[in-house]
Amino acid sequence: MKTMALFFAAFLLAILSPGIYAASEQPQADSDAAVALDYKKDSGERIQAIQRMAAQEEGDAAGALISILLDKAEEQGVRASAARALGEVRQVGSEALKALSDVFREPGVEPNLRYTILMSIGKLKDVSGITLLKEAMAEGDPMIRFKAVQAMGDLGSAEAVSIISGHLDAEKDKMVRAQAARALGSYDLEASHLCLARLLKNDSEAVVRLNAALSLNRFSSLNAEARSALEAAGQDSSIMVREAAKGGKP
Amino acid sequence: MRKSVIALSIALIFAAAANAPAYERGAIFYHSSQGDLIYGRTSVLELPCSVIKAVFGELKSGHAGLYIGDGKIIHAVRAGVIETTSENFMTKEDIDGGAKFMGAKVPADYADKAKWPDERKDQLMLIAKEQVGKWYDLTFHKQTGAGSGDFTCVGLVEYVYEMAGYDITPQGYYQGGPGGKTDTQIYNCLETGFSDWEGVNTFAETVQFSKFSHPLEYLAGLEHEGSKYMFFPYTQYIQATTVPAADDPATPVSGGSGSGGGSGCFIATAAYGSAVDPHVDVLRALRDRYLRVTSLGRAFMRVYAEWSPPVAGFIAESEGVKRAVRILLVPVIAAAYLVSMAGLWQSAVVVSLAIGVAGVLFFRRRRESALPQTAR
Repeated sequence: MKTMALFFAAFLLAILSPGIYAASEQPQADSDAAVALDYKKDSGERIQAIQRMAAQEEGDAAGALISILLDKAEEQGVRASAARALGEVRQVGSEALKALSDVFREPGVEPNLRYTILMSIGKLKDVSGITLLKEAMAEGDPMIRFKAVQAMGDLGSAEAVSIISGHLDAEKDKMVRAQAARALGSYDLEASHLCLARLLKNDSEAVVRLNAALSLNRFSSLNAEARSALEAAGQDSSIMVREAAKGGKP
Repeated sequence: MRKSVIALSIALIFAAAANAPAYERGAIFYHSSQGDLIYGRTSVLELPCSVIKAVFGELKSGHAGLYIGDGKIIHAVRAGVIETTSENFMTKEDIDGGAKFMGAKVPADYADKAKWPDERKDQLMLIAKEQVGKWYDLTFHKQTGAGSGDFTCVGLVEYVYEMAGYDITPQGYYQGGPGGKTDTQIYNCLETGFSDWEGVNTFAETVQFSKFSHPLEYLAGLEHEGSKYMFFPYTQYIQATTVPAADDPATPVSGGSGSGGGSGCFIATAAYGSAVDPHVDVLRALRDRYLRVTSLGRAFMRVYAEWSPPVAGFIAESEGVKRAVRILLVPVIAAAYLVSMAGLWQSAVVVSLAIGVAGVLFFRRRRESALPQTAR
């Protein structure tokens, strides 16, 4: 009961506290970083400032973005915008990846923030991000696995191909498998040709075969296995797969 | 007793019906801006209030999103492209702002299995899920993600359908080759007091806008490449190529809590079982209005965010604990409600007075009971 009373008192004190302390802490400049950090401003205005920061070439923006991302008192949408921007700002250091990973593992963090973090990790193209993406691919939520596989496709590391291929046998969700087929299409490597050919021949779901065919057709030249799978797909039960095998788009 | 059982059974049936996924995945949800008006809902395009609101800085617009099944939608909101429960599609804020019409549409040939086999619908869902996490186009310059992946609500829906091979905006952009298509229309604005707004819609690969000719155009409008334009979402184009979904209710919905999903009010959400419960709404409003904008409030939120998720997990596991926490939350919610209705300082005065009166009465009674019988 005492704890409840203390909690209630802290809660009341917090809402009754005047904002004068906060006002003295606010940056005075009108730079995008200052607007983004100013929690008294409208969140739309802050998100717009964060969006502009994402387009900056230098890494100066990263510090402010990391501080917004790590702040648990921030609105989820503002945090997600900071996470998204971190994936786009040039020359961010390893602190950005650490901050993204820490927030991803935060208990109770909003799912859309986690999805955005995975997207950003892919865009960072930092191979160290693979650890977190592998961790995410083992989670129960199919949407988390979907975004992790998507990020693997953006990462630009050949290591991603073997991880995706290894994951496919255990993956029960057809949308995640279909996304894996799309992600493999980002890697014009022998291993991805083989894996996509296998999906196109054997997967029970048409949407997976469809995306395997679309990915194979992205490559300029194919190995024998992939060519044979595409030829066989000309007889697929799905008209969309047949069309995609011929090089058509949905 | 019997009547109560019957009433309870009916309530349960309605509750079950309300929770059942009523739409086919791929249905385009949309809701009105104000009243039952949505851009282009009739053959005459109308911008009854939106332009006026834009002049005064408050643009109320309709909204569109994609239903992906299992009670979930993907839509573009200010925070970005998000996946959330469909009860968040038309928010309390939208309803408070005057929106009251909601509909759901699908492509005209959606029931044709030859044209829309399951894998094509799967592909639609796949592309929609891929966009989750991207930016919202806050300036309406791009809308369909051209270039950098910024979407407006309707731009997202259009893009997803287009990538699945269906053009829901055949009159829209990308038509007419490089430079896009232009199209002049008159927008009737009943409340302007000025002449109608004559607008030229321009749809190109990089920009979609409507340039309006009007006496107020230099006061209003948004700056783009040195000129002033009125940007607006082109929701009406959805209308031309779609038909109502089978379960289109055309009635108001209850409205969710907000566009961002995830309340952050972990304990109340666990106790009430839903992030969009009205009690949680009261606390969320208090958090956003008072806690989030003060340093002390934010410090409280950080501590709360640290220890509340495991506590919420514990609460969610037991109905008995949920009930007990709901009782304990009554004074907190009552205080929050008072603050939201009467304002912070007025509430503080009322609460102080109430505590003062209660204190005086308490001490008077104690003093009276402490006095010897003879002195009374």
